[in-house]
Amino acid sequence: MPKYKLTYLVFRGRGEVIRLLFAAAGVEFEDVRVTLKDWPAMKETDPERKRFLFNQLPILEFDGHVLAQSHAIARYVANEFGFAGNTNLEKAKVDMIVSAVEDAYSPLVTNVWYEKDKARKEAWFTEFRETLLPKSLTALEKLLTANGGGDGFFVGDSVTFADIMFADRVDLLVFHSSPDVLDGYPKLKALKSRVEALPKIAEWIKKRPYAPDFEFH
Amino acid sequence: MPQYRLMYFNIRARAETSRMIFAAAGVEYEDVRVAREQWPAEKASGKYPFGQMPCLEIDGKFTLAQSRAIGRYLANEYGLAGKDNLEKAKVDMVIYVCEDIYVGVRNIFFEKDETKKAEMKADFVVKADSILAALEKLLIANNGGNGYLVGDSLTWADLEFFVRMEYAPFFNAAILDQYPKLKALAERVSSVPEIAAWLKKRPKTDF
Repeated sequence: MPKYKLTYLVFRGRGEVIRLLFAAAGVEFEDVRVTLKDWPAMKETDPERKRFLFNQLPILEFDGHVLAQSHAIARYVANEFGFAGNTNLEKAKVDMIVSAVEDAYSPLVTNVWYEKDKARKEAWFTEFRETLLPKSLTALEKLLTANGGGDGFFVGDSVTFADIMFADRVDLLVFHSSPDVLDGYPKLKALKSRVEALPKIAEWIKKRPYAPDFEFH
Repeated sequence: MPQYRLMYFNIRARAETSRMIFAAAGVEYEDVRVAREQWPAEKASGKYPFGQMPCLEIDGKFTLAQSRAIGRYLANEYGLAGKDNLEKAKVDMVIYVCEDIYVGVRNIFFEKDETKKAEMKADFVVKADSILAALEKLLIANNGGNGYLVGDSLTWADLEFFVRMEYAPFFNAAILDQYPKLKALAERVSSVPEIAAWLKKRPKTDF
């Protein structure tokens, strides 16, 4: 087994799904967490960009290789340890759901986290809560249900990157909407609990360091 | 061979890489281009999983959504994805980096305000330089950079890169002059016979 070293910020953000995949696989990894304050200095230690290939985090280092881009890394870990889907078509379905969950979540970062103008921020929040998020959740509920009734996982009959991505991201979506936002989506709500109850994931959730994502509101 | 229908608007944008994969693989498909006026009715039909395009309909039985999921599926099916998990991850990395190029260009293209547009272009050139410098390095690290971005044969990373750099005139037409290996790669991609044939016969679009 190679020694894996994941470097990301102190947040859950774009790194947590990778940590969760390692946890689900029962694979040890070095979980390096960098504060926003320390990140510029860390970049300076690598002027040739041999590690921080695209000047961003996360990166995954192992056996002399470096991978960047959070979903490329996550998919690598998923493929290595059996969380990616079993056939090309299953993998494609997993990828589709991962992309859709990302689409639902990433505007939150652009439009809320980075938006300075309070009025624009509020207006966007309203659109998000009342239109965008329900649209995404409706589509995801439908896809989940189409997989044998929806009482298992998104794709095939075991947990994949898609389920883990959804369970992780939905916390942030819920935080920015309301705690009962999944009440209209019973299969999705049950899926989130199901993922979090998987023994290795439950163990990770219990022991992971505190991540201050939820302070950025 | 499955029956494929690729559904999108009559633009390159988020479907062109998949069209290029089909071309490079020599695989037949129906290249459906939905007119803007037709789209509301199409969307309301409920056959698009997320109410968006592109979508890939496979054998009339399953509709796959999300452009990268589609591209990766086709690349995996037809040997253009990289030969092992590590190569596939490096290919993916390039795909995501190219997304940053696409989004930057798309935002510039659709900006109506001329002053804002000029500002966005100036900002983006700096960002594009940073991305291209990193990609040039990656290419050179792959056995000197006279082949492809990952491994020793064409992958959809090379196709995606080519498709995104077709947008260079929107921010700096000559930008690849500073990145000789990337420039040669783009030319190499366009000279692959199946790609050259596609570039010649495809509909001409603004974006």
